[in-house]
Amino acid sequence: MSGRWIEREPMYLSFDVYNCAYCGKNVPRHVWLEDIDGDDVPFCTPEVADIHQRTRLRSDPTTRRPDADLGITEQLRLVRQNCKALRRD
Amino acid sequence: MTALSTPPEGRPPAADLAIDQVTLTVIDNYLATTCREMGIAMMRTAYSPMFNESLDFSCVLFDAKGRLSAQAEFCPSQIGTIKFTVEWMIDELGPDIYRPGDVIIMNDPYRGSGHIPEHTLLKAVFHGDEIVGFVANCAHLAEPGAKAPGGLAGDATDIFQEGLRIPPLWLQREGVPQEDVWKIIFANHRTPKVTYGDLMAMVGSLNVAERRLTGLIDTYGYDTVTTATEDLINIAERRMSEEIRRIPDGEYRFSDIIEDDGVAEGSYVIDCTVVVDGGNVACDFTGSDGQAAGPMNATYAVTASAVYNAFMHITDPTIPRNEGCYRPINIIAPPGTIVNCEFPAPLVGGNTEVSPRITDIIFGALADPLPERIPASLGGTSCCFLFGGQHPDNDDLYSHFHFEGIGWGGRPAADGNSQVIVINGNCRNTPVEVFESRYPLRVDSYRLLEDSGGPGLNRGGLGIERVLTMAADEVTVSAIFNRMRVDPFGIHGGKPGANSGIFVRLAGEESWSTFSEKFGTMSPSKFSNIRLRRGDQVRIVAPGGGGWGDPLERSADRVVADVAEGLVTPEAAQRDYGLTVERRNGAWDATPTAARGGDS
Amino acid sequence: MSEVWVGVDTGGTFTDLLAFNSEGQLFAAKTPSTPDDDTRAFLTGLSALQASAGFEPSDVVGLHYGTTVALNAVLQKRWPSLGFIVTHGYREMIEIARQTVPGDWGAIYTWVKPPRVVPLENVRQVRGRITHTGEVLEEMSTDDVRSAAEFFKAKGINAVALCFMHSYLDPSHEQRAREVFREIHPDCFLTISSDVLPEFREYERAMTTCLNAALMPLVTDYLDSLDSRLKGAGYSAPLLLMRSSGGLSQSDRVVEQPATIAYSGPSAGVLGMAWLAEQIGEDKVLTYDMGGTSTDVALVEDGRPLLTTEGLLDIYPMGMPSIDIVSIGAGGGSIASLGTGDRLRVGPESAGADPGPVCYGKGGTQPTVTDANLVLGRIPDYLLGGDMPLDAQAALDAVGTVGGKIGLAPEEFAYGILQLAAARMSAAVRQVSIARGRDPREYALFAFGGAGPLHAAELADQLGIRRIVIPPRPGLGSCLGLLAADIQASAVQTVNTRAENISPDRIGDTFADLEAKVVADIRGQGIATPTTERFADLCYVGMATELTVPVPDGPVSDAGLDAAVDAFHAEHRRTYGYHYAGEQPVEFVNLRVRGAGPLPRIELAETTPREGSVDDAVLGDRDVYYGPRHGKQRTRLYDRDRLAVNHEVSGPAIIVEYDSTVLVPPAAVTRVDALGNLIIHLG
Repeated sequence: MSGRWIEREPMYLSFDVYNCAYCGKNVPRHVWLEDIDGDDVPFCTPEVADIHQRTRLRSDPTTRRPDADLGITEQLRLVRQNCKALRRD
Repeated sequence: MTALSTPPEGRPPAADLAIDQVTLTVIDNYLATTCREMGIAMMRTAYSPMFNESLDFSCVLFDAKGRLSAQAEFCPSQIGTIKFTVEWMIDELGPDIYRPGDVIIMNDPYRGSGHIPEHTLLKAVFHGDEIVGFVANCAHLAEPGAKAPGGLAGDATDIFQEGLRIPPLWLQREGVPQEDVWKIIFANHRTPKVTYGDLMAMVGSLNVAERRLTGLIDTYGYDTVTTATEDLINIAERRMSEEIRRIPDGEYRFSDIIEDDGVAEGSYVIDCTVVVDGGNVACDFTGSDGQAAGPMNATYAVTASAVYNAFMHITDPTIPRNEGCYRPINIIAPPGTIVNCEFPAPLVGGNTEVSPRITDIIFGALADPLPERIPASLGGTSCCFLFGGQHPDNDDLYSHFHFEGIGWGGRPAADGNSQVIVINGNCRNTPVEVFESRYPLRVDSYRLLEDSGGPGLNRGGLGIERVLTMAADEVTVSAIFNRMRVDPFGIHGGKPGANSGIFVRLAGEESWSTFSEKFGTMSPSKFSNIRLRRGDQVRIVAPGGGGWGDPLERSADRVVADVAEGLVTPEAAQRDYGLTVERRNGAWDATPTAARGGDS
Repeated sequence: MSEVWVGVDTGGTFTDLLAFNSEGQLFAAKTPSTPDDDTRAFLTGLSALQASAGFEPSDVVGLHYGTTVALNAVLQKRWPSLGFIVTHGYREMIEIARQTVPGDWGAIYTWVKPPRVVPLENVRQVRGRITHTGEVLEEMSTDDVRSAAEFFKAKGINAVALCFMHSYLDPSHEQRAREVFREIHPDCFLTISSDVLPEFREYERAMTTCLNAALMPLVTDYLDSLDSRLKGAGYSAPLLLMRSSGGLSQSDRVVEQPATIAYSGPSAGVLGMAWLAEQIGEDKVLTYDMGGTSTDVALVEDGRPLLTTEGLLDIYPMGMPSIDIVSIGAGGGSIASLGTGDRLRVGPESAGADPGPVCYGKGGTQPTVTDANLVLGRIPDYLLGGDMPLDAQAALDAVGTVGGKIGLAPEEFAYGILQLAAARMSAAVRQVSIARGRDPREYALFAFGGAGPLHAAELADQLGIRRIVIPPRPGLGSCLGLLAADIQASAVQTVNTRAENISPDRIGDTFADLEAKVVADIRGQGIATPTTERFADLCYVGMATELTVPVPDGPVSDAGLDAAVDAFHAEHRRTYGYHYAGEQPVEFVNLRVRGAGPLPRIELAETTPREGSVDDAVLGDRDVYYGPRHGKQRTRLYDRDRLAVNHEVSGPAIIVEYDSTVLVPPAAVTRVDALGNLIIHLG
């Protein structure tokens, strides 16, 4: 997996918002773009992108990955430490 | 030691805190009272009744790293949104751009604000040359310059119809008002003088907080204050985790419906799975319907705030309100859904209607795992009724956002309260004598509506009925209501509370009609800019709360007391509670019906 | 024979009495209160005072009384079954209230709306409607009033409140209803809202009216009983009661408006400090009254206490003007404890007088503010001049036990308790000052009550105040106010008229009516030459908060009204930081007249010694802990009674007197002024 940080300029003529593909929060300025199957997918942080890739917390059985290698406890702990929507340091 | 059991991983136990408990408590109190003083300053100085009668605003402090360090709770729906709003403002502008005396304004819901009427002001606080924190407040301005007076257009189809959208802009630079910005705002608001007074009150409130924050640093030094703030955030996080541990681990799912969006037919499902694991909880809204065509959408910040609000109500209220108490609560809200709409969807009703619905959904999901704390559904709508026009007494333009309280749901230990404000705002009503002196509408009655509380072992609170008569040649009205078609639910065998409603009776007519029937609005509960004439009447019905527990188990004494006070009619006592209640020889008497195991 | 004026203040623990005679002599007495029947302590104290001062009952020409009878009745909800009559369509006005949830985070699952003062089954509606302009939209239904009167009569309800919409503009419906009601149920105490509080905001007016009705039977009985006991003991002087607004009134006036004496005692205290401030030329004063269970603070400017019409009586709004006193549950008996998450709390729980602080040795186990003071060496190990010994070891153990749980030594923890108590009090002070745009640093702190002088320095430090004034006999602050007050009466009328539409003649007529009412009231109380002052409450059109400004006497002219409007703009800028002069129309909301009937006033007799050496006042030395900044310091103790005028004492010092202890912290200096006040300048 690979990705990069981008730092956005304050919006001027155009208005577009990046939502973290994991939690849905819109991310203001510093966005992690993860390369997933050739697309740039935005995340709060690379760690969240990693969690996203390894599993989906989502309860909807159609989107939850059956091969998830992280239990819910572990996911929540990682999210809590890494998702920018959930904490700032 | 009195309190803590095992602290969660990675956090120091209380005795290891870097600051002694006394200093910590003094600083905690100081920060909290600073927020409260901001609120007092704002309430006393603002112009519109939204502020000074209804108290629809909030005040917060952030530390230099952009972490929420304290807040005061004048309006609960803003407690969570303002955190996102201020974080966005600080992040979008970057850290090095502020000068002492700068004040920044923002109201863009797509940048973390709740909806357009809510304006947030931010000021960086300096001690010497250093930024030592941020102070901010957020308030609902009565007039944001939308397509409908008062801002809440029930049939808006995009954000641009909902008012003047303001990205982060300098309202004041180094103490000097930025006239260009003020002029644009005034030119777009129907009542600019009211806007001026309200914004000035907000600026004054920031100044109060700035002085207090620098005073604290003068007394204790920046390092001590910073360390104390970090300790307080950690304590709050740990205590909130402790509270969440009380809920058994598991996945709890619940859904409810937004009945229509004011623009297109069809209802929207909000679906949430609450995942509790140890001291953490995630509220996952995956599976909720796509975003609405009309203004019944919530932003991520509104959804998160509603979730926070639910947890604040069912956990220890003495936990310091800072960054830490939100950390254990995680929200997953897929973009493009009704709980996280995408630009440029309309969304003004998200904050007033979707927000209380989400709070109810969280309660619904936790009703079984946390039975001792969870109430039945609240009335769950703000009953937004907007009106404006030209006042016949003085030709001034006026506009007003009127809302009603509702009945609370029945609770494990008590009946729901009647006619109290919906959970997402803790706003006072406007006295009728003030209302009538200010606006050309007369209030013919303002009364509790009998039988509107959901029957239950513990009854839901009652809603109200208010009848208004237009006392000007023309009054333009708009509305956003919910729970007109979908009942406020009961739990544990309780029955639903009564629905809301808004009805019209034109001068000379006998009976009440819905606005759809009379004016062809798509929705009976969400519409904008209907012109009424002198003598026309509007009847507002606020919903009751759902019942808790089987009404047949409610004691006869309590049913009789309700009948005696006129809260429940004898017919409803018979139908819902299985009791024939009659007055005989000056005393009330109750006989069980067959439903209650009686003879009759 | 010389004439005597007596002030009697009933407190929670003690009833204090202070008297002066026409020769300027002062006498004081103190007796335990008798909460089951306050008249007992009143009479006991009076005979003790009489014995020590050597006057006859017939010498007494004025009896001024600060009473808690009304407040206690409300706090204990002791009132008879009440009725309420309201405009049709508003049956649940009191139930609905202002629809908010009190407290910090309106807990949905815990908060239960408290029971209303009138249950819904005792509410009756009457048709008839007056609009916001005073127009009669529908005539009042006398049939409805009759049926209500019959209903209450049949139910045996003998106290009824009545409130119709917009009655502040036109009381005719309410007055007519009263006539009709009395024909049917003549023995009922009936109180109408346009008499009690002719101001808009129906819920607040109705609640004030209901509380008034609730208190009428009880206060009437109480004052009748006190009156007959006084007569029986030979006292024939008129009984004057202190109202919450800071003026005295004869008891026959008070029984019509008993809700106005709720904060009788605390108001007297503020008034005492206001009077003292005038004597010594302090124009900005913060009064600070700290007792065993609570602390009251208020602002005084130019010798006048600031008033509010947004007061609370227990949980109920009380719209009648009262001194803007903020009261919090922090006093000498406040308990320090650890809450959830080891959060340290001081108060509002109080050990009260029984068992009292741990050091009283009467069974208290939780450390209190008083125990903390003892641990730090700030008070001697006795109270009341040695009458009451204190158990210092028990206090140390109790403070040490709780402090140990969070790793603090007893002295550190004791110091923390005082810091937190002061933090709560300073928050209360900021609440009164910030709401009015005042900066507490510009004010002098007048500390009184049993515990005020001991805590004043900490509080002043947190507020940035540099000057503290401590009157002689700080425990008698309320009595001082009772003997420094005038008879007062006031009247108000809501007008709700824009300044540009106003007719000076109409305003003049309204003021004349109000003045006639006030003057007649005061003359009826035996004062031949009352003075009156005019005020108006103004606001910007559409704004909800009004400000009160003076209006010139004499014929009302456009110029006089313009002056009032200018004064309003200026006060708005002072209070809120901005104004709309020339931008936004101004509305006259209420017109007010306040009248005063002057009474002879106490003179602070020159009881303070004029000569002697400071050294003569020294009682000894002790170690006192002043917190991390100053540490423990050897501190000299002085006897206040032996400090003479112009004596100076440098801190750290402790000055002991009969019912109070004064702390002068390190780096502060105190001086005795000509009237015997201690003026402390903080370093």
